[in-house]
Amino acid sequence: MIEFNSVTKFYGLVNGVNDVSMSLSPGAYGLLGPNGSGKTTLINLITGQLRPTIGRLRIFGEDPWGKEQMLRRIGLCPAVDVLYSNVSAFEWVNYQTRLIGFDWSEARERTHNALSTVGMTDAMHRKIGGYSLGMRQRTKLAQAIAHEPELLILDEPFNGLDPIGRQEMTELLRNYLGKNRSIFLASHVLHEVEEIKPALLLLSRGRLLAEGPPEEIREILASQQTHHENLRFGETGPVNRGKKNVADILIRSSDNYLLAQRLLAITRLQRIQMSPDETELTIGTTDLPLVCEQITRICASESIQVFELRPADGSLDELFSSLMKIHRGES
Amino acid sequence: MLYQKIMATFAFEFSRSLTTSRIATSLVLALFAPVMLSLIGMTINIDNTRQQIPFPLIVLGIFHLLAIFLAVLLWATPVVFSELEAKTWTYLAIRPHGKLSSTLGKYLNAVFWATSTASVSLTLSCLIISRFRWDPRQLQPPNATSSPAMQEWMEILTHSSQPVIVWYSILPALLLGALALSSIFIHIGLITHKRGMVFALIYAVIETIFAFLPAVVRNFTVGYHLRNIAMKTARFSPPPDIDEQVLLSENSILFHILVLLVITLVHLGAAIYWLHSREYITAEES
Repeated sequence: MIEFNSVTKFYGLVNGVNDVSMSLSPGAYGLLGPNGSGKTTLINLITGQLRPTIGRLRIFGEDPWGKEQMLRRIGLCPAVDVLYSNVSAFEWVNYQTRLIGFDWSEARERTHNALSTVGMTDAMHRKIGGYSLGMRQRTKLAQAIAHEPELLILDEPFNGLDPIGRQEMTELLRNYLGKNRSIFLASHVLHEVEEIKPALLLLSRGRLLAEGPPEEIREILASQQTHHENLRFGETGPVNRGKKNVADILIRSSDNYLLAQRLLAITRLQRIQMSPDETELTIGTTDLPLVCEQITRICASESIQVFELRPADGSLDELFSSLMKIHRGES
Repeated sequence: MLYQKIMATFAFEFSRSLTTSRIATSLVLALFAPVMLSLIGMTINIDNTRQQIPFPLIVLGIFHLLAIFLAVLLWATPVVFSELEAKTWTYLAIRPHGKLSSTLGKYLNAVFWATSTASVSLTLSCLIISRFRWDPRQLQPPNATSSPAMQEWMEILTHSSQPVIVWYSILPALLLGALALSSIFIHIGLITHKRGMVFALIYAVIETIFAFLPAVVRNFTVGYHLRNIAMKTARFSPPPDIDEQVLLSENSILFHILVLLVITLVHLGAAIYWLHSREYITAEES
């Protein structure tokens, strides 16, 4: 489906994508990388908006630059959060659908379906200028799926969505995948991408550093954390904390201190840390399911409200910098 | 198929362009010539009974060419850059032939607005000049003995100054002018991006100067061909003591129409070439 062969893209003297080679068959892919890592450049190359400076690129077996009919098979939900403010979502999505090549009546029908799929039926005739960020995000998604493309590309689709919106978006993407279609999702937040269980591609400073299923990435991440922790404690020997890896989870609750106290009393944690502003509690454990179960019990018995519970991905940047070092042969 | 996409863009752009600011700008441009004519009519008031507009065909031709220039400068030049600036270009660029159909649809919208504004302006102007009593003999010095050539020219002048003749002579020139100038300004906008308006303005000034030069270079200007179309449709000719070739060519109206259409197609073709050969980046790196 997507084939990169030593693709490099320069913007003048700036390197956007550096010698990327990959071959992706249909399925779900999560492109992960810090801001400025080249994710959008990669997407622009896939959608034929940019031409590789060096290397060869094929999408569905064709060069996307200049083969515009091929674009009919792709839907793109870009990261930019700017839309025409003085038209309604229906008018805009309908126009975008007509540009694909559908006639007037079919475009209207598809627009209607796409907007109702993303939950915009009630607001679709209101001007976009009055929409919330989440509504604009859903409208963007509607224009990308209205023509039911084989490959749906999403650049930071969870930006600006509240937890419910994120959940709905995840559900929507899962359903889309269920229809034998492919998804290529770019984000800088691991746990968001993980939800749809894609194969992960790690990109940093324009280079593709690693690819594989989320479990493998998590393992690298965990071993990376262990490695850094050992360095912090001045250990010089090989990193070996037993066969199980440490997973970090981040909790925001109504009483972080009480939760920490109760957790420490009943279970063995690898580490526990309170954020300086005391709003976030990070715990490291080798037995994540057990700890999650205990958190649920403690919260129920002590009437603690949990606002957020998610894997702590603060170490993602560390992972990228470590992988960069490996690439340069520094570690 | 491409035609449907272009028309879809035109319809979308037209509904999007129905804004207060666009309508107000259009109104100002449409009222410019009629207001100027009224002021001239009030100023030139011979013996307090007759009001005259000297050479209405030329005066209205210049006013409306200026209106067309301003309209396409405002509405055609930034068609691509405005999308790039608003970061909405990506949505158009990822559609099959989206760049082409959206640019051509926007081009039609610019032509529509420019032509309709100028047509309203021309109609109002012609209604105003119809109120003035036109007497070409006022151009002659009192007690002058007119030669047969001068008499003939007076008849030509009288004919070409009738409001209806002025209206139907200038109107096709306005449409052709909007088509050609919009394509030129879109081409300039695609090459120069942010500085499109500045370069388009510089082009407009140079083009106006060159159009009036009695030299070969005027053949490459839109204004020269428009002048020929309007004056030849009205069967106007310069006074007998002025060489006709200083103002007009020896070619037929059809020739000038064809030249304008060729200019339009060449510039649209060049604009399409730019669209397909150049990378237009809008997305912020994430």
